[in-house]
Amino acid sequence: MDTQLYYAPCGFIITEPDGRIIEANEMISKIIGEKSSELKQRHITSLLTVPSKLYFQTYFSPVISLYKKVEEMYLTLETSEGPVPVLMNAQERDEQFEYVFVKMKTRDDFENGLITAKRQVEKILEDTDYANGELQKLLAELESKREEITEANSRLENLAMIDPLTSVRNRRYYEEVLTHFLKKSEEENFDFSYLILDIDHFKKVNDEFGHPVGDQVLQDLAWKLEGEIRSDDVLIRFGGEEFVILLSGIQDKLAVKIADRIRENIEISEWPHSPITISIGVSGAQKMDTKDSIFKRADEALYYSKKNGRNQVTLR
Amino acid sequence: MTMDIRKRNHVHVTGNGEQTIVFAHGFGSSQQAWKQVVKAFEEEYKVVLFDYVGSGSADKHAYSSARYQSLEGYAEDLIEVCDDLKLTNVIFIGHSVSGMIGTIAAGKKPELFRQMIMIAASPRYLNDEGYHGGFDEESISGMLDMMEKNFNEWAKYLAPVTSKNEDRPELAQNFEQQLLSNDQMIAREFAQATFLVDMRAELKRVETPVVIMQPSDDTIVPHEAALYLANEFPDSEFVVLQATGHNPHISHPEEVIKYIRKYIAVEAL
Repeated sequence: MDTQLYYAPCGFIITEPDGRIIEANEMISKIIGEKSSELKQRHITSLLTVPSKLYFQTYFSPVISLYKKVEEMYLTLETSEGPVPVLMNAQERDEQFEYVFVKMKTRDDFENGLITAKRQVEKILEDTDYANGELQKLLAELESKREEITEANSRLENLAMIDPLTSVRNRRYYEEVLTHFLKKSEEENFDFSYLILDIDHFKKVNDEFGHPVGDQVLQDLAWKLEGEIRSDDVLIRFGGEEFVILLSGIQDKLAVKIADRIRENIEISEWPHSPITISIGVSGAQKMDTKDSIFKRADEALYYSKKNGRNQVTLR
Repeated sequence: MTMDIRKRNHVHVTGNGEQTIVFAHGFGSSQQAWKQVVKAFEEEYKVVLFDYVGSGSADKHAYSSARYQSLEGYAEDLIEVCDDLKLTNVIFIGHSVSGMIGTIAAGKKPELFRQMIMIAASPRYLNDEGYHGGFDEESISGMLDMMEKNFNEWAKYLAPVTSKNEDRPELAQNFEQQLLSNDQMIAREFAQATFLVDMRAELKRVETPVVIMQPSDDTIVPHEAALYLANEFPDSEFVVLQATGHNPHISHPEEVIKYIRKYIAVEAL
């Protein structure tokens, strides 16, 4: 090796293709901390730290055999003063390998700082991603809970509008549906008729056969009335033994006919304990009607039916 | 979904002969590493070369962290390559981590190999009580850091080979950019799958005859670890090569060829 190369300000090594060192210059022996003569015959990897050995063994041979050279391989040398980072270039020439090593302590510290910062950023991004994912999950959960509640509420609302004894709509529903019918009649030229029905001498049924039978009669009647109306009509248990039917799209004259048919069907239908008849008051919806006004007319009509001998229909 | 395995794993079939030899590359390498060895067998054997997904010229899009987080995924690659070519009874030659990948494949499909030849293989790289694997966890993580720092340079070597457009360097440059983001993760995951493997408990179950070829001074696999393989495989032969280093098939192809010929299960006709 010529003098200039021997004392060059970079480490220089020549090896056999199998990695055994033929010559090493002054600088490399200075970095390693051993005499250059002692480096002879040692394997090039014996100068490396364990991680560098692993890396070198994995990548050096494949690359140099393909390209006859290796550039800028970052490695750390095992020295008496601990690991020393170096950048290595190598080439294959005349069936020997030549290596140059340049110390890069300051650069390496700088790069390590960058890597640490990069890892921190990656960690933060990862954490943020994770937190975001969790948040999305919670939001989705919240949304599905909200849907459940809405559904449960509408179920409850429906339940609250049904009379538990007869399973037909109750007074609460009546308030809503009558408002709706009146509004529709005012805005859309929609006809409907209001029937109020009352069981004749219902008190006697209760007194004679007991309340359970009375309840049975109410249930049977509700069932039979349900069979008398169409899906657009509304049947309501108004309270006690009183029912209301709203006949959708029906004017009062036709309503009377329907009411009379209902009355007759109830009268001739079979009842387990005693025959049942009903009295009905009918009123067609009029302009400017309110819930009270239409009810009042029908109720007066019912009163008349009762007073006039029961089991009959009166229009008012 | 039909998958083109040959394309995915960049499979190359050459040579003439009844008997097939499958060569499998190691970590950080590709089928290119077998270039000098393969030449010697092409006349008498059918030779199959391939790249594991994530390595060499295999289809990078086929890579998924889930499949390749352990060596199982790589063993699936090996089995699928053989199945695709309808191969059984092949002679398997694996370098480095491919020794254990072959072992996994042989466990899953015993009829696949009639013989396995492992060059510089190790059942476990980490030291353990009563076992010398050669490395502690610190050096493995040091190696991973080293890969990271070296990655940009390393990708440059990979690029021209993989894109095969040496006359159009701008293509290589684009490719290099893609490599930088994907390959770094893949290489890291392959390194983890490799260096954290522990196959010691599986070796006794392997019925396939095995030949262990151990370089005389392998800085990655200590002699003890190679000997451990030879002792644990029920049917094994142990050969110490004069070659040094971890890549004798690259650095000393003649010797590797000589011993493969000597120990190969079936003489060529």
